[in-house]
Amino acid sequence: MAADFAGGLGAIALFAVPGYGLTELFPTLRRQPLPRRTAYGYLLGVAAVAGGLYALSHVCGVALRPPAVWATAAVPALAGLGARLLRRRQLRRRQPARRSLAAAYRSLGGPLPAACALAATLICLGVFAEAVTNPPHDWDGRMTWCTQARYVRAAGTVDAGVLLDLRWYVSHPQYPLLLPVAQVAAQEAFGADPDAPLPRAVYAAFLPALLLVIYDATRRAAGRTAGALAALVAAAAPFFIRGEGGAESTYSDLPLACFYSAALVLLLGPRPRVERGLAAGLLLGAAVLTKNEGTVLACLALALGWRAGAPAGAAGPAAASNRGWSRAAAWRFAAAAAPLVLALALFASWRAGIPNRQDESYPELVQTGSLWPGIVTNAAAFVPVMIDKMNRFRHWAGLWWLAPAALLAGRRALHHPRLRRYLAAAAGPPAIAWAAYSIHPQPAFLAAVTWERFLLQSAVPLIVVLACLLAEVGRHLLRHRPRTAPPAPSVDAGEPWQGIEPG
Amino acid sequence: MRGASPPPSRALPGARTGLDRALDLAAAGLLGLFLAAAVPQALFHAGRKVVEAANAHESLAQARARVYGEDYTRAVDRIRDELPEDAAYLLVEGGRPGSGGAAWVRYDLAPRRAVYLGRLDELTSGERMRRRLAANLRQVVVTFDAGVPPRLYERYRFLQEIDRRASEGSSGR
Repeated sequence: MAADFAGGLGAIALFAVPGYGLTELFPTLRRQPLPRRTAYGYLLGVAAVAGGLYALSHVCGVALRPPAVWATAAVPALAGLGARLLRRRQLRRRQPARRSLAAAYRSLGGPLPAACALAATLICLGVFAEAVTNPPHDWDGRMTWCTQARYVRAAGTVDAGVLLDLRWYVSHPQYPLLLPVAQVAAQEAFGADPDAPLPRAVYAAFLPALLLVIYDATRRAAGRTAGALAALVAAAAPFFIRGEGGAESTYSDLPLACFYSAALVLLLGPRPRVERGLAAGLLLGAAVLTKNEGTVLACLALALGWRAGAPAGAAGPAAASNRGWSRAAAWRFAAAAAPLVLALALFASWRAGIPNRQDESYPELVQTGSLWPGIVTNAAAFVPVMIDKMNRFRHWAGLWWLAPAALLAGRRALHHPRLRRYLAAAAGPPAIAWAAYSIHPQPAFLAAVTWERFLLQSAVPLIVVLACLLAEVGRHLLRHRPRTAPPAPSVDAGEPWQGIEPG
Repeated sequence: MRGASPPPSRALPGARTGLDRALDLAAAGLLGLFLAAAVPQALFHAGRKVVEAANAHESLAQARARVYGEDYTRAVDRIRDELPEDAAYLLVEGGRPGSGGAAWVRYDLAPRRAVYLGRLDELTSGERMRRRLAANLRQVVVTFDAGVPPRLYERYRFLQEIDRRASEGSSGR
């Protein structure tokens, strides 16, 4: 057997094709250029196919076997195809201009962004090649996620007996199973050997999705060059690739980062739209079903998106416009909240039947440990560990040395409300970590094994903020005069430039 | 008008001091340092992985042996042959705490179910163990440090071994 490139691509397509079909139902995503549309599509595909199988298995007792997997994947794919066919007449009337390669290159924004895109593509290719050549060799992947996938595949249900029976030794049995179900779906769909590295490709594909989400968010805020550089920074940071939780592992942290940040980008968009809220809600639901902390992060993203893009208070005709905005924002919120609530209900119902063991019981720790003053007193134990981890050149290549300098130098950019929301979103995972370390009996140990993964979870909003700050620094250094007119809409932009929204 | 307002990265202009300029230079310099250090390394790593994948002409078993170690993989395959997939076993951790050995073996033997008996150095009496057993399982898998081959015992042999070691320990004292 050579490296299983075809199997890996098949596993990715199992989620990317239905997800791409789903984007057809969301005009904002449909109008994105192919790479970004595929990235959002992939995330939506994992959410819909793996999430759908999770729900069907638990609620309806559907066996996780090839017929169920193919049917679950076919529904969104066919829905997208149907929507496409319905729009066909409009498409005929308004034929989009065929874009040449030169136009695609120009749309990247010049040689520097094109070089960044090329480098990031090569890095992603390397991750994919590694994933389809080697069996899982990381720590938590083998200890928890892949083992759970084997139990679920053998039982054909997410309610596997081994999880439900207290006698059996299972590490973190109450961890949500979206990614293990995705593994099972890929293996069942292609009849893969349990030892085959095929499901690893599903994890590897989250890296390009993450980079394209970073590019999408940063490009809107700071331009294409900043967007491309931001994506390259993420692609080149060693921990993002080879760290415990990075793209070459089978941890759920990178997928969580993708779901959380893609939902954020959709929710923090300038115009409140129901379809955008619904897409964000699906991604937030996936975040809930990916990791325990996904619940907190999803609620945070929803809260941050609630007033995002709100116009400043006004009177007269502007007030009427504000009322219209508030109504649209309320619908967006409801559309985002609905899938999230369903995911929370599914997770709670599934988890209720599983006795916890071989895991930290945080509810108990919250009761017995004291968050106050632990939040301050424990800091002496875990903060040095956190700093040590961030200072490791082998892990981060100095990325965190850059952050304080950028924050100080570009601080004026932080006046922007959307950037402050991204900063608050970036603070979410570290805040969860800080709270967990404050009540844990071994805070230094816990920080040593989890801190960098929390940084990974907050990577997208953090890198978006850093990119905007550095774009500001670039303007200082190049002595650019601030332009009063907005940049022209890009040929590939999904919608006209919205610019800053009043606070 | 919303459409005419500047993008988030375009801050309000203000007076720039020498310190501001130094901070600008520091931020730009650190970005340059990061890119200069990380990008070539990441590209080199990616290139190596692509070449390795292109040259990988091995079976699944060979890939596992390369990654996990030959002896380890052979031992795991032997245990898999002995224990059917729907079987269960008693798991004993003989390696250093936190070495991961038990976790890897449990992964490699899944979906076979495991009952954790404890750490090998804490098991001192066969009789006491027999009373503690919640499930009537016939096989015991003893794991060691990561990469060290696990061993499969019949339960009665394992308990005899525990008693023998315990008596040796007490007579040695």
